[in-house]
Amino acid sequence: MHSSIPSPPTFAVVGKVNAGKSSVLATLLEVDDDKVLRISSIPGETTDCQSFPIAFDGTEYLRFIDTPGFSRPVEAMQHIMSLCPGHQPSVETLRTFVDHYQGSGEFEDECRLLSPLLEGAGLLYVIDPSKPLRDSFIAEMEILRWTGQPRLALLNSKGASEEFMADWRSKLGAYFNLVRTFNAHTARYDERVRLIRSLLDIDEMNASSIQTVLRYLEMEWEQREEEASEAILSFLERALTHRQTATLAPREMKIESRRERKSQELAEQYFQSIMKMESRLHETLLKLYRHHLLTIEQGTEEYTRMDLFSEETWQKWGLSRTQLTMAGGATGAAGGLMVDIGTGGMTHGFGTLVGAVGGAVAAFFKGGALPDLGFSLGGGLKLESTDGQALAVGPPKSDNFAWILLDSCLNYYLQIVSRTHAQRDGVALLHDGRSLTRELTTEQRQPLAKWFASCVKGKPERSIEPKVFEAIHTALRTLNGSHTS
Amino acid sequence: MVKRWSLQELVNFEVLLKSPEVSSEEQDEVQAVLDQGTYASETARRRAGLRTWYEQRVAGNDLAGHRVGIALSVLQWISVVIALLAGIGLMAGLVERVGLTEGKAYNVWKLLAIPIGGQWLIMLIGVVSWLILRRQDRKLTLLEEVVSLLVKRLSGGAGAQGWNEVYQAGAGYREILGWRLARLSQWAALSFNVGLLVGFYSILLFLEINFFWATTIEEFGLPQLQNVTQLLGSPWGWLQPEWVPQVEQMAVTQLQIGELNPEGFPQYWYPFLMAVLVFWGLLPRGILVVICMASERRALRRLTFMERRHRDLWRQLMPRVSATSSYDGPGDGVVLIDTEGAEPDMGQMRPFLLQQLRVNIVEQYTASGLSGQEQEEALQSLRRVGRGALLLVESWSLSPKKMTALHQKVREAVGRKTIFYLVIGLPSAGQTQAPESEEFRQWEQFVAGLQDPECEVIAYQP
Repeated sequence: MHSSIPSPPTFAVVGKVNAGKSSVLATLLEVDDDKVLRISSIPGETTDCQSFPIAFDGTEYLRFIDTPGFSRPVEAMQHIMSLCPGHQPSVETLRTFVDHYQGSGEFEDECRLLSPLLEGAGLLYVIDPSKPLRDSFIAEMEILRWTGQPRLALLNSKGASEEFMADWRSKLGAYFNLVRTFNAHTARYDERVRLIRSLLDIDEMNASSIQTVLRYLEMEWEQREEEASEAILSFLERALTHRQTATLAPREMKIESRRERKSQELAEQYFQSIMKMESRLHETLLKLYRHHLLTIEQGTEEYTRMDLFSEETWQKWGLSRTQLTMAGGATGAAGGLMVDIGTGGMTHGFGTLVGAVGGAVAAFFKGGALPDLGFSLGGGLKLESTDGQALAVGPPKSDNFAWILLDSCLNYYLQIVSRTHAQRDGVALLHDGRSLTRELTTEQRQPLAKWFASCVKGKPERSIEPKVFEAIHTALRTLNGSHTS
Repeated sequence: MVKRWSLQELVNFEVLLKSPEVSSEEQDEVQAVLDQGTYASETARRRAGLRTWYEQRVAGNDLAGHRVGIALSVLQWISVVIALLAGIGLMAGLVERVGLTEGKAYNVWKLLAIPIGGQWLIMLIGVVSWLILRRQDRKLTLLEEVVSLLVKRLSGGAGAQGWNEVYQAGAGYREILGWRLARLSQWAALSFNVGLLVGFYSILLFLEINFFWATTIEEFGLPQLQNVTQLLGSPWGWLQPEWVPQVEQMAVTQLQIGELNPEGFPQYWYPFLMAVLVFWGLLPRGILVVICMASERRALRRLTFMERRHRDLWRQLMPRVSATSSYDGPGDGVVLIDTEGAEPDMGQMRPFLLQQLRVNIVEQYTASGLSGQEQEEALQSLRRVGRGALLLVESWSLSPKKMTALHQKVREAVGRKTIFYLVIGLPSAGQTQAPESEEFRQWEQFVAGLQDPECEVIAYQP
């Protein structure tokens, strides 16, 4: 009797060729490197068993084994049954089968995938539910049932036809301890955690190891959210306080055309700098979420001219005019209220009313205005001169600029965390046009608006910064679906 | 139980944060403390962790806080002494010489209006300002700024640096500073009131002093004085009615034709005025000192330590959790050596290689055109590769001598791993074909002649 139960708890990922076993593992373990875990549409991409330990601080708590797919399950089942005529095959029968055929060139894949199961590994049976339930699958499930190991069936729904799903579900219940759905191409963090948590239901013996993994995964994810929030906060502060400066000779300042040319150069340099900062932020986020293949489509010069400064962009990505008006009104009302309190209520709320109306009107007409790049048009860019020599181009004054930057951060973040590691097409992400800042709550928006204003002035308000961090952190958690209020 | 922070400790903490590299011992200690305790919130946990780190670090590094503490004490004592003298001086200054006799006397109206009324006016302005500004992330008031500057100057060096850090920090810290500076000013005000009492008592003791009141304005007449005295005397009037002057007593102390009542009747006024100075001067200031102290403590208790430098330190103190991210690749990799430069379509051949040979090509070289450096690279790849080498041979056109030499070179590089001979036929319509059986037989013969047990010959099947 063999009793070499692998330690730590081990689960082999088995299934038919091209069912998506490696994709499931790639998503679960965040591996997007083809040199480590190959994924392709060619059947038989996995040629041998490959071990994937989950370790934290050098201690292994859980292990998954990627296996080659079943090649000839029906014939294998018949051979196994022939080894014990009149009886139901047992683990020993399977062992005899493997011992007999291993290295013979016959049933090579079946021998390989059964080996870890015979050593005590639990199993995750991956099924593509877009395929009809055929005899070969029944044979696979029978063979797996004979192993007597904890079994979890995983419906790797690839979004294709699911007309066979009901058939699968009714049949799987008879062969497996648990049936779960998991789309390796869309599963996000919470679904990955749910899958690992499912292992607790089929393998109580190893509950402590699995729970440790879950706890560490949660800690690691929280750590990432916090570091991502920090990176976004730092980027916003750098971008909004950034000034592009140049020194002009006094005679250059007097010649309008030269001054204009210089200001245009500076404006371009300014946006190039912002883009570089944004690019660094993207690198940080990609690294944080272990994406090596993914890139983010960085704008070229067009980015500044066509995207950021197009009416469409301004309306789509920033706050809406109504939201800006409301924010402006609230700020004005707060100022007016101070006047009312200061007079001991003698103004009968007139200060609040005037403040609210004034703030709202200003925000309605100016807040959503396009930032003006042109030097001669004024108002859009802050231009400072000292003794006619120093020229500085700063952030556009429009309130929406900061919101657009934040929206871009949130949008790419959401795409990064939504992208699974099984997707190996190496595409470059693009801003998908969805505005996420509009979904922020008023409590989140208020400190952000105040802090943005202080940054644009060049003096980030340190006292609000913790609230801003909290607002961004909450926003990221909401995007991840991990926010519990 | 987590120890409470003090302002001096915060100063030290901020100075220590300038070199926040955390040692593993510090990490372990913080972790051990956190593991032992139970915390109501993440903020409480963070507070306890940072406190533990601080206590480990502060030994011998408390100069900044110490200097700030001394500076605050010095400033407090200076202000207390000045305020005391000011109180005594004011009471002396309020003594008037009245009438032809030039008798020394206090004008009751002035005595009530200047030291008491003036104080209350200032206090009222302060409270209203505080009520208005407390919800805002305000900076310090001008007076607080001046005091802060003095503390900085007096602290000098490390103390000034530490004070600066606390001064420039966020809202929580500013609140603490505000209450500390308010406390400082309330101690001075308390001392001023002590000065008033000392001055008043000394004058009563050492001078022959009288009291009077006079008016040319109807609003400051006897009924008004009576109302004011009743109001001011209400806290103790029910217990000591004789300490509140009655209307007839007030009437006899009114200044008549510029002269004091010859009999004086100082006993009608001094108990009342003494009580006024205690109840309406000294006591409120004492209460404010207590409020300032309690508010400072509450602000210290409520510190969240959420500013960027605190978050950075907290991240360093907390063990970084990171799952294994490096795995060994699959062991089915082979290096393909294209012996004749046939350059077949590998996309077409890949399924065959995976499904029949169970190998995956990780590197690819053409034997005929390799430079010295490329040869070395190819040999390096062969040494690294998991499964072995795949020699791609086309028909039967190579010299056996040359092939044997190549085989030996590859064998030396791959060690005991498998060398596959994949025989392909001549291409047709751009597609790689299976070899002729005769060609394949010749390759089988050649490989058999090599007498290499870890060698396989396979015919490609499209």
